[in-house]
This record gives sequence, C-alpha cells and structure tokens, in this order.
Amino acid sequence: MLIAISLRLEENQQERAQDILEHNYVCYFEKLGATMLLIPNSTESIATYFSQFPIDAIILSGGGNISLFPSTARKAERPVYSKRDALERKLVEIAAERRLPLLGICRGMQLINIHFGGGLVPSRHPIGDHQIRILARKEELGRKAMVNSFHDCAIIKETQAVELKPFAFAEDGGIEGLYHPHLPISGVQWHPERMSSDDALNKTLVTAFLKRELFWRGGDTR
Amino acid sequence: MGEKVIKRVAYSPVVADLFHYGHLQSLQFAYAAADYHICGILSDEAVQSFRRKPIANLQERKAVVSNLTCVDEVMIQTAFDPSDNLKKIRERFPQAELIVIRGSNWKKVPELPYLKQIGGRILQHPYYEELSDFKVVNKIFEHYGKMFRDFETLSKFFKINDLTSLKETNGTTALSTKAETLQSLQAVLQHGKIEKSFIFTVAEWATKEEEIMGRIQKLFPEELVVVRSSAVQEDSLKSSLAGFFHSELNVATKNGASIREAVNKVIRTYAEKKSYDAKNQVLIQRQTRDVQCSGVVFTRQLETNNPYYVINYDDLSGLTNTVTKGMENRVVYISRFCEEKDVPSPLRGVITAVREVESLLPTMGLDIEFSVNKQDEVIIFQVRPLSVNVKVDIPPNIEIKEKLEELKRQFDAFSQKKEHLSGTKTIFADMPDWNPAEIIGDNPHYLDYSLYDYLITDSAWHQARTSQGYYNVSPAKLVFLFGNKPYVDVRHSFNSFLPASLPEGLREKLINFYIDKLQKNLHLQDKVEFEVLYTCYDLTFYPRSKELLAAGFTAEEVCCLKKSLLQLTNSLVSDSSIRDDLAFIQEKKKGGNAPPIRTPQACLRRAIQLLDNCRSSGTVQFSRLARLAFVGKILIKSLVAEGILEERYYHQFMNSIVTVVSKMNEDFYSLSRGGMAKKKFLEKYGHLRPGTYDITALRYDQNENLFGGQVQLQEPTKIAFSLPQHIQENISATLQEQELAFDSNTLFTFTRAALEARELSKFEFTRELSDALELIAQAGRVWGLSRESLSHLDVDNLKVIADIEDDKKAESILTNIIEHRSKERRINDSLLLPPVIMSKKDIEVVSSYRAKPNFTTQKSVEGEIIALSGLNKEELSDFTGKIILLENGDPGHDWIFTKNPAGLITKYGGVASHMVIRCAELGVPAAIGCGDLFDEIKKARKVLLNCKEQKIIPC
Repeated sequence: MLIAISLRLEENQQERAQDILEHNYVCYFEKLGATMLLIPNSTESIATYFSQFPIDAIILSGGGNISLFPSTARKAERPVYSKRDALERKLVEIAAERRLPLLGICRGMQLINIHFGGGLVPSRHPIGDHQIRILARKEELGRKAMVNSFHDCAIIKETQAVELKPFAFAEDGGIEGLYHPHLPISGVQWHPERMSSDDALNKTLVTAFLKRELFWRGGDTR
Repeated sequence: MGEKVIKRVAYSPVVADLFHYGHLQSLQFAYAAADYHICGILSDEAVQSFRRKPIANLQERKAVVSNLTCVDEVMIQTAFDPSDNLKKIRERFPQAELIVIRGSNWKKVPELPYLKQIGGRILQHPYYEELSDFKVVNKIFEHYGKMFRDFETLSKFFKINDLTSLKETNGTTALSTKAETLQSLQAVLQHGKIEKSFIFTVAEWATKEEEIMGRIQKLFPEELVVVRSSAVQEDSLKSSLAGFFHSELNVATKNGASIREAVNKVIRTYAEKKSYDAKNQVLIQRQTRDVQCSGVVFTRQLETNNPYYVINYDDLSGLTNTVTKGMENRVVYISRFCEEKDVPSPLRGVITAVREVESLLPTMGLDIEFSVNKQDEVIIFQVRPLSVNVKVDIPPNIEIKEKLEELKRQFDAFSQKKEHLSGTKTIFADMPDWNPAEIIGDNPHYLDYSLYDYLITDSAWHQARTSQGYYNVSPAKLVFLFGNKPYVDVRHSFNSFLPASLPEGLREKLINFYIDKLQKNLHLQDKVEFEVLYTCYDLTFYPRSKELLAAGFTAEEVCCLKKSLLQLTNSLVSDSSIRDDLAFIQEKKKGGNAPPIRTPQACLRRAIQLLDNCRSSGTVQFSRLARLAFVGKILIKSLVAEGILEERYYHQFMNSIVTVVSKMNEDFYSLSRGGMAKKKFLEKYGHLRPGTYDITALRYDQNENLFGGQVQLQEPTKIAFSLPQHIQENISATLQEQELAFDSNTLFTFTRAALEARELSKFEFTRELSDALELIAQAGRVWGLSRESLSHLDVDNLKVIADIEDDKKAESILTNIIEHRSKERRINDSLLLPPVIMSKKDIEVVSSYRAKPNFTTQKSVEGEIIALSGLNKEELSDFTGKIILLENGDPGHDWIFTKNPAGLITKYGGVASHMVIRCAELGVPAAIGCGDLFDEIKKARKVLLNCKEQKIIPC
C-alpha cells in the first residue's frame, strides 16, 4: 500500500524554507504495512506523482497552521507558506476526483474543512490529553476516549463546512473528527501517529482508513 | 493525469423502494468505500422471493438510483442472491477487490460463499432504522391512527388530502355525489367552468316542493335548465353507474309544470332502478348554450389502464348529450404526457381543464363530461371516479413516456430530406402499397415483421419496380415499425411509382402533390394506386389530370407525365413479362428433396437458405407480377369509369379468374364428398397457415380442425367470361385512340394471366417460407423454445445463431434476445398508435379517420357475425349463413372460404388486396378494410352487409 503524504513547510534558522516530515509518520504507518511517498510542496509536479506511482491513499500531515489565518501562526512558521495550502487543496481535489481515501491529521483536517467552505476559530483547550466523544455508532467507538492535542486553531459547529459531517467532539464543543458523506475523505484533530493514551482508537481509525471501511460513518446523528 | 486504476469495486444490492434518506446514506457509503460503485437493483420478482412486493416497480426504482452521483453503474439483480452479478463483475474487474455493502440488519448473506472463494468481503453499513417500513407504518398510526375509525378512512385521508379545502357541503369524501362534486369544484376551478346549479334531495322535494320551485325560478329566470339525477350510489368510489339514471335537457323554467314533470321523472327512475334513498339528489343546472363540441373524457384507457386521455366527442351536432347516448361519436386518444400545445383546439382547452380537475383529485381515474361553447370556454358537467380495471396492473408510465419520446425522435430522423428521393416530407401510414396492416397485421410479432421485411419490403419491392421502368429508389426500405406497428414510408413508396423517365423537377412536384393529396384524404390510403398516384396510363387520365393543372402543374408537365406513363404502360402490358416470371416459378416448384437435418443450427442454416432462395427467386418475381396485375386492373376499371364497359362485365371477369384458391376450393369440395383423400389435399395445401409470416399460427397440416366437421358445400361454380364482339371492338378502338398499343383481347388476357400468375407465385414462395418457419420451430424445440418465444427473434438473430455450434452459448444468446424483446413488446403493447402519422404530434394525439371499406360483389346478405380471433377450435365447423369478421385477411386465411361463409368483413385490406380479389373471384360479398368501423361492427350480433349500396348496418 502506497500512501502519499504532504509535508510541513517551515523556515529554518537561516530563514530557508524546508519541506519537512516528522519522523513519527513514517514509523507509525510503515508499522501498519504502508509505504510512504513524500509529496513536496509544489503543485507543479503533482500530476506526475499520481501518474507515475500507484498511490492508494493520501494523508494531509499535521504541524503548523493555515495561511488563511496568519494571526494564529507561530513564530517559526512565519511567513506562512500559502504554497502548502495550495498543494494540499490540490490533493483534496485529486482524492475527490479519483475517489482515493484521504485522511487529514490536525492541520490536515482543518484544511479539509476550509476546502469545503468552513472556517476556524482559536482553540479553547490547551495542548495535552483531553477527552473526546465519538459519535460513530460502531460499538467499540460509541464511547468516550482520550486523545492528544497540539493545535492552535479549532473547528466548532458554527465553522464546520456544511457539506461535511462530524464524528467526534471535544468536551468544549470543538470538532475532533470530520468526514465527507459520499467521498472517502475524513480528518481528525488529534495526532494518531504521536501515540496518544488511547492507542486502540488510533489503530481502529487508521486501519479503517487504510481498508476504506469508513467506520466514522457510523450513521446519522440527527 | 493517468487513468484511474480500479482496485476496489463496491456492489450494493438494494431494493430502494420509495427511496429515502437511509438508502442515500448507504449508497454514499458504498461510493466512498471503493473506486467504483455498482448498485444492483433487485427485480420485482427477486424482491417478492423474500419479502412483500415493492410499491414502486423496477423501472421506477431504477430511474431514481441511476440518477444518483454516488452510483457509477446500475445492474439489475434478478435473484435474491447477487452471486451471478458478482461473477460478472469479477470477470470485468479480475484484479479488483470486490466488496458487497450490506445494511447492519443483515445477519446472513447469500453471497458469502462466493465472496469467500474470490477473497472479497462484506462491508456493513448501519441500517437506517428511522425510515424502515416498520417505523414508517408506526409513525403513521401514531400520528393519525386515533383520527380514524378504520383503515378505509385512514387511507382516504391520504388519498385526497388536497381536497380538504373543497369539502364544504358535507364532511364526507370528495366525490360523494355528482352534485356535490360539482359544487365543491365550482369554487376552485380556473380553467373549467361549472354551470350555475342548484341541488336538493328527494326528501326535501317531498316536503318542500313549493319552496324549491320558487328558488329554481328565482335562480334561473327565463332560462333553459337540465334536470339531472345525482344518486348517492351513482358516483361513489366503489361503483360507477354512469348513465344509469336520468337527465332531462332543455327544460324551460318559465313553465312550472315541465320542471315538476322533469323532477318527478328523475325521482321515478330512482324508484324504477330500485335505488330509493331519501338522500338521493336532484340537480338543476343551467343549460349550456352555443355548444361547439361536447363529450366525455376518461383519464385512462378503460380496459387496459393505459396512460391516455380517451376523449369521445361530437363536434358536429351541437348537442350536449350525443356522446353519452352513443350517437355522434369521434374518439381521440391523447397521451397523458402530451404537451397541451400539441393538442388541437378545442380539445386543448378540455385537456387543460381536465388536468386541473385531476390535480385536485390526485391518483384517481376520472370520467369527466364536458362541453366547449363557441367562446371556447370549457364547461364541466360531471366528474366521476372511473372504475378502473383492477385486474390489470397500471402499466409503467415512465417507460411509455420514454417510448413515446423515442418514437418522436424516430419520426424526425425518418422524415429528413433524402438526397436520392423526391419529396420534402413524408408521412407514415399502415395501409398503402404493400399494406402491412393487411399482410402481417397491425401488431405483428417481431419475427413476422422481420421476415416480411427480409423477403419483400427491404429491397425486393423496389428491385421489381426498377426492373419494370419505375424510378430506382434504392436504398429504401418500405415498411418501418413504430412500436409494434408497421408503417409504410409513403415517400419511399410514392417515389417507386414514378416512371423513371420523368425529369427531376417534375418528380419533386408530383411527390409533393401526391403526399399532400393523401394527407387531405386519409381514407384513400389503401387505394393510393387507384386514386392518388398515376402509376400507369389509363382511360381516365384526361379527366383526372385536371387536378394537376388546378394544383399548378403546367400543360407541358402534364403532357410529359402522360408520355412517360404511356410508354411505361405499353411496355408493361405484354404476355412475355408474365411468361418469364412464371417460368421461373414453375422451375422452382420442381426443387429436389433436402437431406435430413440433425442439429438445430443446421435447421436454422437450412431455413435461411430457404428464405434466401425465396428472396433471390420468388419475391421479386411475385412483386413484378403483382404490379402487372394492378396495371391490368386499373386499366379495366378505367374502362368502367369511362362508361365503355358495364360494371357487371367487370364483376363477371373477376369472377371468372381461376387461381390456386379457386382450385383449392374445388379440391375441398371434392374432399368433402370423398372424391379426394385428405392426405392428398394436405400434400397440396398443407403449408398454408392463417398468418403467412406468423410462426405461432399452425399450418393446415398441423391444424386439422380447420378442415374437420361436416360441411354442406355448394359446388363452386365458375362462370366463363366472354365479351360481346361489339364491346370488344369499342374497347379496342378506344385503346388505340388513346395511343395504347394493345387491343381489348390482349388487355383481358394479360390481366387474367397476371392475376393468376400473381396468386400462383405467392402460393409457391409461401411454401418455402412456411417450411423455413417450421425449421425454425424445429430448432426451437431442441433448445426448449416455444413458437411464442421464437416469434421475438429476427432474421439476423437466426443467422448469428446458426453459426454458433456451442448449444449452451446459442441458448443463452437466444434467451437474452427473447427476454429483451418480450419486455419491449409489453411496453409497446401499451401504446396506441394512429393509422397515419403525419407529424410528431400524431404519436401523442391519436385520432382516427372514417375508413371507406372496399365492397366486393353487388350482393346483399344478412347474418350472424363470427369474430374469428375469439373462436375456439370446436366452433370452426361451419360458417354457412354467417358473416365472418377478420382483422387482416392474409392469404393463409383462405381456408375460411372452404367453410361456406355468407360474407366477410375485415379491418384492414386495400382495394386490390388479396381478400378483395378472393371474394370477387368466389362471389362472396365483403367489406374489406373497415378501419375503426370494424370495432363497432364487432359489438353487434347480426349485421346487414349491402355491397351494392355500400352499407354495413349492425342489427
């Protein structure tokens, strides 16, 4: 299984922009049997990647913020690179067009929300573990779980894209998991690859993603 | 970007009855779970194999699902177990992982063994409980259950929801009685008008007669009114007693006595019909004046429930009740999908008004009595529920709509200007030229049509004419199907009757003139060779050609036409042409015995060989002879028309012709007397069948009933024909004067020879055709296919199958075609098609014209009628004294003449058709080609057929 993954774009101390991938992603997904294909932050060659490689799935990696909301960016990310946004939006388009499963992690989920017309607000909870509630109906997940948290921005009910549906909430109302009802696109606000305290949940989530079982579509919540 | 690789295919088996949110969720789930999503819709039968029948049928369910973006492809699943479809998918996507999506309510799935075998899997989607049938029904009862006493009132609540605002008079249902219906509609109708009216009950009349009289006279001063019954029973939903009670028209309100009398008469009829009920009402309604058209609309076809507005109307008499009394009567069928702009006035307004009433009374078949006044206002007199035929399923409307659209596109495509042919437009008609309605009927099996096409109407027909000096129309097929009904492309036909020597400009002018003339005189469609076209020169040319001058042809053009026709006619009327074609056929008759055949494929190959043989040496000759016979007949008839030959001589001549059938008649007489052995008789005539192209009709030698029973036959008599010398001389002189190069004797000899040769050639090629049909049936037997099943095939199919040696494969191809065509046929059966299609509108607004039957002989007979279509075998004994009713009299029906019928009436058949010739020859009085009149005659028990006065009177 070949997974294309987007990269973080940050300046180093010499103020040179670098495409970076946190090593955790590679370790975590390789352990699950996937091969990672790193996609640089350029829309120029993106078509070539998809024509040359039999890509099975896409991950929008975490880390950093989104150029649309520069005020929330931390120092190291300045100036915020809109190139990453452009590339990742392109990846969402490709996923929709080719119906490839796409998982957005943290910033990735936020990008998905923005791509489909939603917005962001500053996060209300601090970095660290916190409790979420999963709305998917599948038995083992219809419950509370602990996840990690590393984000500055958040999606709440009011800023969630109309086209998308939530499947996990934080206690403070922040949306922790989102999916598209008829495309294999989903996102989580936490970082499964960083080993949060409830690793069983991460494993179920990521395995379902790789097998396209879409467990997050547990049923309607109306 | 490169092609997307399909690595994972999802298959969702669904019923998707009354598609709801839960269905959508599940299909979206499947779409997202794979690269390619195929939705398998369970057929109605498959659904019924494990649960209740779906409410929406397959087509309706499929139409919804096919239009979803989350479905890439739709398949029909014909069994509970989708494994067959999964196998097909597996073949198409051998590399892909196969996932079947099932709702979480499924515990055991039938496809599991197969999936395991190929490494596929089941993916469950949460079942959407909220809108499950169970919940839906529960919700309905929860919300509404307490409001209703019983199921009937509950269901009514949903049925006529829209009418709640209309129910002012009393709280029952919308169509409680006629009077109340009208009153409730009065307030809301915008397009239809309801005449001012007043209602009272029988009980009220008994106690307050004077008060009522006063109100009537006040409400309708100095006016004429209608006094109608409105029984409680009359218009209730369960039974319709249309016309069962009484209506009194044109009652003057000035005259109190006449009102009282009319009211009492209405009340008396209640009593007479034993339906006395104090709640019965009497309706007083203003008499509609200045009526231009009145009638009755049914919003569905009565017996079949087909989606047509059936309008019976009278636009001549100016009375308002002629239709309900069954007097003046025209019928038009308008498709329920027809746009109002396509409906001719004044019916357009009627449709608008009817649709408005329908929108207020949804889901109900209605019977609406209307009239249109001179101001084009539509007045509605009555609205009743139509007692629909509950035994017949309502046909799938969507399919009929699509089919009608398809036929309109077909009409457009066929009507395009053709470079090699003259005529700016064309029309399609069921009886001109080779008269398909007569030969294969107006609802032939696909195989019948295909064979007729293969043998004659594809190319043999024009090859023959070209070789005789007519314009070469190739390529041009003569007959096309619209739905199941065959039509002649009139432009193709008419072009093939142009003398080849005419210049192009004149050709164009003539064709446009011909088509125009036919369009204005539709009843001539089965007589085009005699009354529309100039296909040869005859003695009526001068008087007839005045119509050309009047239509703007120049004298030079008429002269040019005359010259071409003369030349053509002189070359055609010669014995040699008949002799050559006849010799060809005699040669054929000898044909050796074929070796025995073992496999079904070999049967088919032999059948095709026979058909090809027919085509290459049979049907072209036959077509040529048929044309010659026509020319001879036209010429002799023109002698009669010009007063040179008395009509009785014409009939004597026709009666003196000895064809194979008059011989068969003699042989049958001899058979009935024991003079001829049955075996020998059948050897000679066994190949004939009632329906020459129809594989489902058994041959004479397989259907002994046709010749069973005791028949007292009159010995057939043939009168020798001879013309007095002076008449012959007169004729010869006239012919010479008109520059015709033959004398009287040649003309009569030629015509006789042509008619006899034509019948013989038909008899002979029919033999090969009949054998071919039997070989096809024989092949079918091996594959377990009935004659009915085989009748869905066509010649091309047979050719393909003949080359497939693998029986399994051949069988599966055949089964597929048969299934497809029989489905197609069922849809086509729901269509009503007109005798003539002149424009696209005619496909949706189907009206008929009054046909003029072709009467033969000068006799008059009266007798009981026998409709052949409805007969069982036992009744086939003796037709002595009976008048036979037959839809289309093709040559295979000749056996009826062996049973001594008193007369014959057919629906289809032209002036020179087979049956006209037969009846003339045998002296049987007949009316051939009665069109819609036929259906009326059919309802009678006895009929008076007066050929001399050209009258048919049912009695």
